[in-house]
Amino acid sequence: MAINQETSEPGKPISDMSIKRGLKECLVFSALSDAELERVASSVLEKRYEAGSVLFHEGDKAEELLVLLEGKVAVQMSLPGAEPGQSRRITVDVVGANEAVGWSAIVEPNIYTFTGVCLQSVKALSVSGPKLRWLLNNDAKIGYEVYRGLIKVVASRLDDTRRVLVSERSLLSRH
Amino acid sequence: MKNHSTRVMLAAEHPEVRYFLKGVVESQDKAVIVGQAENANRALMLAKNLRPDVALIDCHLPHIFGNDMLPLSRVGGLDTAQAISEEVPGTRIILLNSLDHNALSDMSLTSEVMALLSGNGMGVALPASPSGLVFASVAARTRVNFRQRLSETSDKVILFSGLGILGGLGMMLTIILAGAGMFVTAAGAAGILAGLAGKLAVSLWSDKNRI
Repeated sequence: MAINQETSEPGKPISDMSIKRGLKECLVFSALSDAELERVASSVLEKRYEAGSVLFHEGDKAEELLVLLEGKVAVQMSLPGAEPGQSRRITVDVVGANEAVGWSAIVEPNIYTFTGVCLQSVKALSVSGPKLRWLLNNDAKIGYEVYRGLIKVVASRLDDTRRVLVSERSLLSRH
Repeated sequence: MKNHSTRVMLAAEHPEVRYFLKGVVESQDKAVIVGQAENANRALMLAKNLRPDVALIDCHLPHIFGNDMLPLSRVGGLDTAQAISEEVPGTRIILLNSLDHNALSDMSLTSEVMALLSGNGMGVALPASPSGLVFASVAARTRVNFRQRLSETSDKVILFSGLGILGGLGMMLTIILAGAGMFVTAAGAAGILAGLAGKLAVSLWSDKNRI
């Protein structure tokens, strides 16, 4: 299946106000002040993806963090199948509007740990990973607030994954 | 079975969703249901055994293990669609990505999906997603479900009863206190106006609750 194809329109410039509003509603950036949001907004583009598009693949270099404005994204991980060399995908979470995906872009080693697949048409703010990393390293206040928000996202994702994996272990142990 | 029918398999967790989808498929001249699955594992097994032309899969499809009914994930529709696409490549897959379970009686599938079902499942040009799957939404005309309708009806009854009682009391008081025909006429007119205002209020209230 041609799941590897990714289609997205080129990044569109949108107003700073819309970007700041979009960022403010996301847990990762919600604690930032107006001036701080403005600094983040300078490295943001709006992107659109069709349903079925793959936003990023597990194992790829993480170059962008996406804040969803519209649509839903399935967060999937690969598990080894029963046959050697086989693998299957399990959806561990579904991310919706005002949520962030691709947080590996700001966490070393900057490799995506999941695959993101659009379940619906998606409109998102794409935050450049390298630019955001530079900002977080050079402004301690922004760095603290963003990583504090990010911890909440990661903890939630970890909990979902843990629940799925516990069930998977139960499944495998009975076969 | 109809001649040259499109063989369709359904996969959805809830019986009422499967019932709705079955009705939609069977309303097509050249489509027939060959199997129904309530979870991801059964859907994959049916697809491998039956090799349908089309698999209609709800996004909210649980992975279930054995008799324990242990859900691995409540959103296994995409996983199932990907697995069927890889293991049964001849099957066209339609993934329902925004099915509103509360408004089944008022829904209709998108025209693209109907075209796929009626077009023998093959050779119909559809806007394919990059993944090769067809992502389809279900259009809901209204979200007012049975419970809401019931509540709406009760509210109307209560409102009109209240207006009726108030109007009656007003008339009685007017007759007792004034005892003049002119006052009775004025009270009647006031009653009619109150009734019209009430009807307008109910109509606005009802519209506000529709999407």
